[in-house]
Amino acid sequence: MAVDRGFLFIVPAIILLLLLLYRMVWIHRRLAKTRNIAETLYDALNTSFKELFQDLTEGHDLDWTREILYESPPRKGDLDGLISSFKGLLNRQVSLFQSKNRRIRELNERILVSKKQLEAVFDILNDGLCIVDSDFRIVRLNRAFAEICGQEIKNLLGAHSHEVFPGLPKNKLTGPLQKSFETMERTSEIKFEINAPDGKRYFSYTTFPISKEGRVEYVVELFRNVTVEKKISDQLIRSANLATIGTMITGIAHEMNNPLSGISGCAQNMLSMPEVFGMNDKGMERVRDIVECANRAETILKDLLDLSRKKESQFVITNIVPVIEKSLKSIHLNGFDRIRSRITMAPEVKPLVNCDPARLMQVFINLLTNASLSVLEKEGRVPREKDYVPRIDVLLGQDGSYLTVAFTDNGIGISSDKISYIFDPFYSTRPPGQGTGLGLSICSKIMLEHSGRLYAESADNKTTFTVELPLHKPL
Amino acid sequence: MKKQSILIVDDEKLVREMIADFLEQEYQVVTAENADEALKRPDLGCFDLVLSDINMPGLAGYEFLKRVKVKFPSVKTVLMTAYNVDDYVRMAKTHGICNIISKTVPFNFSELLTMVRSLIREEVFGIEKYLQADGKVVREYVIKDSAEAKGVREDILKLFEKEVRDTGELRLVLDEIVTNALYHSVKNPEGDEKYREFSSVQLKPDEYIRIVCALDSEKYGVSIVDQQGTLTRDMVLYKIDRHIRGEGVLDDDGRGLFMTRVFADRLIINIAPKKKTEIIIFNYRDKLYKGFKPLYINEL
Repeated sequence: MAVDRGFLFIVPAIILLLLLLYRMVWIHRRLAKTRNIAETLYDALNTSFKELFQDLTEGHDLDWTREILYESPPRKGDLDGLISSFKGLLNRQVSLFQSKNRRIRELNERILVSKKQLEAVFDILNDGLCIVDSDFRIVRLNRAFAEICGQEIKNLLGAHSHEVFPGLPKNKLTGPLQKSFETMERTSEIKFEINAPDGKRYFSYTTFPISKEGRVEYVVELFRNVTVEKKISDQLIRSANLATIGTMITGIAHEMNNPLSGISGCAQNMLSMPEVFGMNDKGMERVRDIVECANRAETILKDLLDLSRKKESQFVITNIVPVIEKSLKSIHLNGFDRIRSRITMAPEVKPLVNCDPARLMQVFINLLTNASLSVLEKEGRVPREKDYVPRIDVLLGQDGSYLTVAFTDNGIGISSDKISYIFDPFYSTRPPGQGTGLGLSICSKIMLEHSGRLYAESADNKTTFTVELPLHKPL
Repeated sequence: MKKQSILIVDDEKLVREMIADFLEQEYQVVTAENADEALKRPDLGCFDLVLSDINMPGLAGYEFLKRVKVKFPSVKTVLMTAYNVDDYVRMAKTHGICNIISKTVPFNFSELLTMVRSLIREEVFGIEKYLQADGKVVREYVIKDSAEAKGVREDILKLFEKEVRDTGELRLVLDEIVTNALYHSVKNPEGDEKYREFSSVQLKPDEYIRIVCALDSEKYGVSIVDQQGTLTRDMVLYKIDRHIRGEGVLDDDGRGLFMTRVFADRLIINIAPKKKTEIIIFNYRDKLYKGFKPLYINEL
């Protein structure tokens, strides 16, 4: 029975072996299954990271993540290793996120600062600035714009920008603004003027479209106040004109002087010795006219020469007030005593200028004579019972380093279509023979010699000629 | 008595005939169109006075008169121009010409006649010679010390109160001329000024200053005469010229004469060397004559 006994051993052994084999297969399968799970997990995590990164970084940092993944690839089949590998990766991602976050916060702060700076720039501008939407409603505006409109910023938000701009002619600028919205192009430097209580103001208008996705969403409107520029450029044009005329007329005036003295002298002889020339009464009358005309022509020549004179002025540091007082005393017009004239000085103004007093007196006398003629003409026009008092006010003030002397009268005024011509040589509103039309040209010339300015404003029955002279700076 | 004769040279027919028409009332007048024509005249040396325009085709007036003077020193010469006389002051100095009549509108015939007369007669001193027939001397002063000068000035200003356009200008002119006469004209034998400006001065009996005020229907004027005659024609021209050119801006030398010329309508300077100097100023009422200011310096 030894075989049997051996058989008895073999059978369980085989069974055991089979069981073992089965267990091994089972284990193998379980292991394979686990490995599959791990690989699936790996894939899933990998994908989700990729997607997450793609979302967060819009693809920019994807390459970098891949690099990390390839640098320390998880050991397949080792779950702990796999997990610790992902943990490491996760930590690095966290720190990456944190640094990104810090950077975003920093950028955010910088944007805030920039915003504040831009707002400050926006507000510090002296030019009116506003941003309007497609309905031309203001969504943003600066202080200067509010000041031009004479309202508070908050009251203007949502308003139609062209309706709140004072004195702006209706529909004057809506066309260009509409065009800016439609064409995405900026309109540049449209000039317009408005009538303000203190005289005319000049603006230049420009738009800047702000577009998004091929469509203009907002337009920035810039209203630049160019009143001062305009006045300076007008003055420059005037002086350029004067310079050209000056060189021309010196020659002409000199040449004219000679024949004119001959004409006048001959006519004078005919009048003083009528018998020598066989003159009758009619002839005498005509000859008297000749003398008169020659006289008038000479007056014009003299003014022209004055305008073009090259002679150096004699400059001295002078208190201007006595010069004005003296000028007032030098006016001998019929009816001048009826005019109420007054010299007032703003407090703390020291009216010392380096000037040629005689030349300045010429300017003042000219301006005062013009003003006097204007108020006296007005006086003649209004009925007596209306209580019109002809007035000339001289106000001394200071504008920066300049002394301003404003001569204001309540006379007939100068209409806006004429005021731009008054400084032109030979422009005169007076009848022929009364004034050569060179007075203000000469004044302009004298002001140029003094590095000063002369300009005129006329509105609401008030006409002001302002003389600006550099103030004397004591050492 | 034979009439004295005058030659008028001007390229402008109307002007030369106009002047001839006027002067013929008193003188024998001959005209010429330019310097060449005048120089060809055999009787050039016989004229008592030659009156010439400055700007003419060919020889300029000052060149022409210089030649006349060289050939015939006794002939009196006067220039005239319609141009700015200031531009000719330097030329006048280099050519020894000191009388330039200005062609004004209306033409100043009475001034022309006065100048011609006084030059031909060689009687240039005395303000009354420059007045019209209706003119008269209204006041006379003699200044013997500096204290009197101020009072006289105020008195003159008061005298002409109604006539004076700008009392400030007249005051300035009087100050300058009287100061010159008082302090600068009086010199010691070495030629240095004896008195310091603005100091209190008592003049010697022969150093007095005579002031005469006069007026006529056109103008009013003042004559200031010192008894020294230290000023010379060249000095006057030099002083005026450098101020015209702006070279004298930084100093006072000659400022008085220049300012007087600027502020007064007429400035006449008569010099009898080492005897006396007379400075006459005139202002016309209502700026009667338009044109440039003439130049009158007579040195005997």
